[in-house]
Amino acid sequence: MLQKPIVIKPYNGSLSNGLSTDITDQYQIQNAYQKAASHSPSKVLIQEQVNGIEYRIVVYYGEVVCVYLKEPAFVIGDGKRTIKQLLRHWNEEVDRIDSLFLKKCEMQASNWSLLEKNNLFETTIPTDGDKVYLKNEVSLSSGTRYQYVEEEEIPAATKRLFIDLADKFQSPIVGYDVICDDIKKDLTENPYWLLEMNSNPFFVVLKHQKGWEKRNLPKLFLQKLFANTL
Amino acid sequence: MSVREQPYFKELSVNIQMLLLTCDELTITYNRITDHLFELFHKGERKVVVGSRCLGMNTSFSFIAMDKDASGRALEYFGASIPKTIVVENLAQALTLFKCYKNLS
Repeated sequence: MLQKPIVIKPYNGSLSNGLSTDITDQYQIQNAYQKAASHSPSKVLIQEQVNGIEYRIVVYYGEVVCVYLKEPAFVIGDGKRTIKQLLRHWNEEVDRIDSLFLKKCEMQASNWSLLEKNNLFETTIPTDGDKVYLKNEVSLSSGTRYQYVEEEEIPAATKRLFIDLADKFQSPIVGYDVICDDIKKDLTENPYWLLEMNSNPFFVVLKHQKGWEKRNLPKLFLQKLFANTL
Repeated sequence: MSVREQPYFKELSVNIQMLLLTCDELTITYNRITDHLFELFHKGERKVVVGSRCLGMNTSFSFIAMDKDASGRALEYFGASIPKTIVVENLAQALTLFKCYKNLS
């Protein structure tokens, strides 16, 4: 039996297209179904919503080379500007950076409705330093922000867990999407959700994040990939 | 359609990560995962990985649990929970599901 809230999404698809979250009533189901079915008319998934923090863990040739946090679109208050003004400012910044790997946060009516449930409105002025999440879903197209997790903060047992899983699948390259309370906890001892594994982990979303230059993941990947031929 | 025929391939090919897509190694990785999922499927474990959904690049697999057995096997196999999921084929099924489950109403 599924517990509410639920998620409705296309059977096939990507980048959260056709996805609806936080569904709790019949009216929402009808709208969400139509939205999902427009992407995959023959089958639609109804899924129990898993709440928590989503991470991508990238294993490359027996080594965890990158872990990053996927944060739903947010603004940080300054005690002066409204949520709408803060969002406009962020979107202008994204326009300025002009990258394939950083997308603006476009708000739909359903997104504002979710905020309203928490007494947050376009005109609300968040206090200085307050982080206000604007959406629930995480995907590049929805304005998600990506952030490195420092390698030394990941317990060795957790790294081993995902390296071993990659071995089980005989896959040198795997990106795992997981949800847990805190990636700094040992996931062999703490509950976590495994959502997806990806044989082409898309790490370039980190290109505009602090630490990209220092880590130089493309170089690391290529070195490992062609280790036997170079 | 091969990866190189995907419409976005040319657009992104300037990026160094995309070099990986031209390498046979990636294809091998994808095939190995696919083979493994099929292997599980033929062992009758399809409920663990029922939703080998083909996402944008045909390289992703989402895990969904159709019943308690699937949840249990996922826990045993991955040490993880996977989201409880029901596949429906029309709106009527979705609404029926909604009506049947008291805790959704």
